[in-house]
Amino acid sequence: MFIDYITSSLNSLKQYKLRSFLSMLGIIISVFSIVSIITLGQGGKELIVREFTGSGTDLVVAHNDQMTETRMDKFAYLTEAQVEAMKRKIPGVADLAPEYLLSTTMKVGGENKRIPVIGVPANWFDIRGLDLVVRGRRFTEDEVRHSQKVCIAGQELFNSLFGKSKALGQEISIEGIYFNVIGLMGHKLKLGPFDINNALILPSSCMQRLLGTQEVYVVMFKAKDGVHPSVLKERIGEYLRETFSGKDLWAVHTMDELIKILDTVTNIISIVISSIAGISLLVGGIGVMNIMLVAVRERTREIGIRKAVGATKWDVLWQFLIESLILCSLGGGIGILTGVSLLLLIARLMNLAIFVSGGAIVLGFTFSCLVGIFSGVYPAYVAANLNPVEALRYE
Amino acid sequence: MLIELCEVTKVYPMGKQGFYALKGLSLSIEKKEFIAIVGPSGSGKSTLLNIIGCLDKPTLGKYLLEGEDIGQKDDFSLAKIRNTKIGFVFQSFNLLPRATVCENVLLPLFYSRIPRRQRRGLAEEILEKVGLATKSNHRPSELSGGEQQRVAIARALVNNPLIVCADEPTGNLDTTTGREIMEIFAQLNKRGATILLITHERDIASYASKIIYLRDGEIVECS
Ligand SMILES: Nc1ncnc2c1ncn2[C@@H]1O[C@H](COP(=O)(O)OP(=O)(O)OP(=O)(O)O)[C@@H](O)[C@H]1O
Ligand SMILES: [Mg+2]
Repeated sequence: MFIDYITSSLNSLKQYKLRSFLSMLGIIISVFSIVSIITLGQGGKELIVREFTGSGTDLVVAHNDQMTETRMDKFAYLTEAQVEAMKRKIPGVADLAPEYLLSTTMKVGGENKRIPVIGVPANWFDIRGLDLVVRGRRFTEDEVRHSQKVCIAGQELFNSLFGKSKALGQEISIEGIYFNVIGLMGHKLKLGPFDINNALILPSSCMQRLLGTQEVYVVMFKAKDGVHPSVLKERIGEYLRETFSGKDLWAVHTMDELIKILDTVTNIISIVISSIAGISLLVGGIGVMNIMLVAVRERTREIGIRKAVGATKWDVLWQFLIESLILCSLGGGIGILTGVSLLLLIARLMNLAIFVSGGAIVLGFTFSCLVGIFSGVYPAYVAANLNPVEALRYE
Repeated sequence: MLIELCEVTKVYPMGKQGFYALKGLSLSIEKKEFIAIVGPSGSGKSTLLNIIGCLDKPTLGKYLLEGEDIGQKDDFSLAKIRNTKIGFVFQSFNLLPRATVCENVLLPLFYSRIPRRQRRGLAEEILEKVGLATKSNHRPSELSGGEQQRVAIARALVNNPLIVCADEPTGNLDTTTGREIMEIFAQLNKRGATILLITHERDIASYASKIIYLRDGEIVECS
């Protein structure tokens, strides 16, 4: 039964190709924008999250959270041994790495600049999961163990110190000690505690010497597969509280929290643009309704014939409703296809990872179907209630 | 008695009192009759046929089809009656221009919910009877007037109706073609179909077993 309605609807759409296409245009445009907005919003968020947290969101950061040193609470630090012990004692930790931080002054382009220096063990790169190193290489465990004077410099910093074309292997003096540049790092995004393009990364062993201490104030954790970062966060918090005799001197964060903030921002943007898309969908729906009313008028005689041979009101109603539904869902389909292919093209051209959201496709399609029903009901009702005798006489 | 009209009046809304197209008309028709309705233009022939064919309802009076009061039926029952008991043939053929000959003939079967597979066979059988088996996949526009009218007759017959209502079926055709069409009606009548046919032409009316003369919405003669 419905197959007949569908084939007859497709036939009449085929008959009026241009008109059908023009009336679909509104739907196409709005579904197109719904799909691309949601995808770009979500993709953008995922991109930021991925760039920030590395391959996953399974990163947990613990750091000292005392504003100032008070008489009662000296700065609470962990020793290297304590850090190592956490790997064994806290279940769910896949790996961890301390971060030593130092801020040094350097003459860059005739100006004195404060440059952040980060000391990390070799496994830190894997824990962060970031593809930071854009040229050269990271340092190895051996180099860390033997306190080799190597470093990875931020791209911008290196360029302003030596010029763009200079080869690796330049020496940079940090606090009077020369380090050999074995790699350059760069990153698109400049968010975060410091700009990686203007920082230096040293082996943790060298850093301990520079600082003259092995006190650890920041530790990065990677959760084991299947362990939720927030669970791990609780365990680490509990462990640290015990370590510092019940006091909350350290804070623990998951990347989830960062994602949540990003979520609210992108959601607001999506809502605003989606409501614009919604309005255009409404306008598109009115266009379809108009075309359907014209179609009902043009096909008055056909409706009369159908009624004369036994079509009921419902038969006629369904016929036009399905036609409108097909018109709109076809428009929705075309909108989705153009949206997705354009997004993939952008992704290809700009070399971005864009994930087409299945939810956006479903949403776009559902909305276009709803509009199809909404704008088809009235014309279909008009058609269904035509008087057969008058319809047959209609010229 | 197949058809019984009792004091049937049809008033079209027009002016203050409305226009009386049928004025208290009574009539009964037996099964297997072949009836010609004749009369001047505007005398109410089409109005009468539309009421008998359940396309329209009388304003006043009673219409019994096989003893059932049509005036009391709702839209859905009327559609069902039109689908199963009535076959219409019009002066202007009234075929769906975009559908093929076969699809046009199939149309009533579609609304009687006959499974798709059986439909084609039935349509082809009927097209055979009206001599159009070879034109099954043509569009109506590719056929001559006579052929188009035969398609319309095939469509009217496909559901095996009790009554065939034909409103000037030869009106748009030349005399020879008109006669061919009338032969088909005569054949049908011989095989047991009840036929009601409107015409202007005397020799067309001569095919009928009974002629009803209408004037100003009243029967003036019945023979
Ligand atoms: N919907 C309508 N509204 C108003 N008047 C109508 C309507 N339909 C028909 N009439 C009038 O009713 C009268 C009878 O119409 P009908 O169509 O039955 O005539 P007819 O006998 O079939 O004429 P013809 O031979 O020209 O087809 C005509 O005078 C026509 O003007
Ligand atoms: Mg007439």
